[in-house]
Amino acid sequence: MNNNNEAVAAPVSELKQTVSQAEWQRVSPIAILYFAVAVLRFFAGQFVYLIPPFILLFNRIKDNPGLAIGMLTGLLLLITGAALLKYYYFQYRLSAGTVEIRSGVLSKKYLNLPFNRIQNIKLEQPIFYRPADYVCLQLDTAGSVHQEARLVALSRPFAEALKQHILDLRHSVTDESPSTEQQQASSEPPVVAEQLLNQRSLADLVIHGISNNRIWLFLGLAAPFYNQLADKVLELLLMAGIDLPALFDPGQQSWFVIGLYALSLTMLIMLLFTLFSVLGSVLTFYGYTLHKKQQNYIRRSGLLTRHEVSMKLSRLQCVALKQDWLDMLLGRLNLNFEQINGQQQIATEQKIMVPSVTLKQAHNLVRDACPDNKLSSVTFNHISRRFIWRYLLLYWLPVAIVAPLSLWLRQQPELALISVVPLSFWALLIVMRWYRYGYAADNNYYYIRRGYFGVDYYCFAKYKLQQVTFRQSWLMRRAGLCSVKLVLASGALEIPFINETDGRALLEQGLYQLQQSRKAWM
Amino acid sequence: MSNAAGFSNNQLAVEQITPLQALQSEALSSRYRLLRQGVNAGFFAGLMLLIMLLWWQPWWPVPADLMQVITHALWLVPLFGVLRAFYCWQADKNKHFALREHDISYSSGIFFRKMITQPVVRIQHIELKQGPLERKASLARLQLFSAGGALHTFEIPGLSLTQAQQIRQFVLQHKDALQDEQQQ
Repeated sequence: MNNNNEAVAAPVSELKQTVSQAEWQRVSPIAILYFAVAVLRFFAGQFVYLIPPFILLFNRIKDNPGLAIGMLTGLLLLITGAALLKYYYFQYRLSAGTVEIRSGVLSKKYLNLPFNRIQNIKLEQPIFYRPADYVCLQLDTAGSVHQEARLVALSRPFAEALKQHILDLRHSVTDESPSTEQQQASSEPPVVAEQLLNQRSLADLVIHGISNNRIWLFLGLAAPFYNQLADKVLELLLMAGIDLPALFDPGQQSWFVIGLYALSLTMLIMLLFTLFSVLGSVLTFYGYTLHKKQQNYIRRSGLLTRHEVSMKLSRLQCVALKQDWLDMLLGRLNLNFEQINGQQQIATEQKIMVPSVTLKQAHNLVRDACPDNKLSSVTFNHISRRFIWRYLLLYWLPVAIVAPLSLWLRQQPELALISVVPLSFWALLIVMRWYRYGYAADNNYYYIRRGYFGVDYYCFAKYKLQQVTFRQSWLMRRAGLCSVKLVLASGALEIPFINETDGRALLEQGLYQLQQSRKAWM
Repeated sequence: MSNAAGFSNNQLAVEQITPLQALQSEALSSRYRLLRQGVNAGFFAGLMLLIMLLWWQPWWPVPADLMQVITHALWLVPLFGVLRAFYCWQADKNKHFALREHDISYSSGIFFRKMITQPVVRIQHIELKQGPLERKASLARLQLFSAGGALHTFEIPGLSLTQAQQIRQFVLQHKDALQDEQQQ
């Protein structure tokens, strides 16, 4: 059944066939080993918690080796059986422009992947493939992780040839426009100069550190050590004559004093955090520059390690201007160029973010990235007031009744009274959320505004849409309202509680733009 | 494929496009509804059997606490089963899909209606999935993957196998689906 060897001689021959001519093929039998390892891994992952009892029972097993051997053989047989079946049912078919994979023993899967959708090709060689030089060919699309196609166990020359074919196909397709660009460029000076778009000074970074507490990142990393750390801190404080548990014991102090202590302690910790945060900001963003070279954005920054990240402008999905309440007071905002999110979780260093720019600088940058956008002048439509009522009645009201009442009944009238503070804060959040929500659209772009106390603005081209969702509950239908969700490769944005005709028009225009313009989204 | 023969992809003016709300949506296969009812009935019958066994078995004295739970379960489980069956029946009745020249829509929900529209141009790859029971009933689930991420995988469940294959063919033969990446 192994057609690989024949294929090595003329690897591309199958790729000229049409789908109807192409034949289903099996991979090399060495794949059985691959599947066996996969099944074993699955078992190990599922039953990892059984290992400690096994170790405990080890003595018993030693006394009764027959049973243990029986179980082990059974397990081995099961794995072998599963691997054989998986191998038997794994088939692929190559034809001009597409790879198809049929797999699955009980649950069948049939995957169709056009070559021009492949973003990334990886060759993987587990150790047991090495002697016979087999590889596992992994084809990634721009969809998300774990959705890739895997052709397990192809001979290396065949896999390489296939990879080359797919890459060539992509280049021949995408190279057309760049080559004309290059020709034009050759008549001009050969080296295209970088154009400086933005630059951050140390003062900007200090402002960024104050308004964006990056400390939460550190705190998250330190989470496993909290207990030890807390013990150490308490010990130290006790040595200095401060007994924290006693200070916060309601039996010894009144609630008011405890509140005061808590407040001052929080302030102190916040101050420390802010200092750390400024330090973190300077470390990451020192010497920040954003350049534009041809159609690429290049970000350089870092005090100790210089990071250089570049992004093709066509990969940009959405521009986000994020301004939290502190940023608003300082008149600054963070500008994010959001790219594809699905394929791999892009680390913070890989993102292109311009920290703490002024409004004017931000609008200049947005104008460069999204030509003809009207973000700075557009008037946003408000969403319906029903948004407030929904969240107040559905979530807030039950809690607002139950929480103080139950505290009161438990003889905690002070706590019941205090609970009004977080409750009113929550209600304020809901109202602010409604107030901040806004949407607008012009011929080419969508604009969305949202936030609580701070504001985030999003601006993205209509043709970047991946999928749209229209949502409407029975009550919303009666009020002529709807919610829409616009899915981009960088994430989804929802606009809740808007006029039904507006919502439908938003979706319809977006779909029309993307289908009619036929522009690539990346 | 019959779809392929009559396939056209002429450009349409906005006024000509059927708006999403006016789409003639198609219901899922009736076998899907029956299958879901069967699975539901099977699951709750199995659960009931287990509880009855616990209730009647003479070999092992059931603790008093557990006995109380069992007596309640004896009427709660069938009630849940019937409610779920009713819910599934209604929910499945409200699942529809519709095809336009350039996109596929799937709507669902009883009180909270939802319609997802997936433009064909943005489809990255296609999967046709069949569990063992679905295979028996020759049903299939069609998954269309876009770059929107795993959370936004477009899925139409309960299509008859031929229908699913036809839609897959429609997507694969869609001119835009192949042209998209070629234009920069």
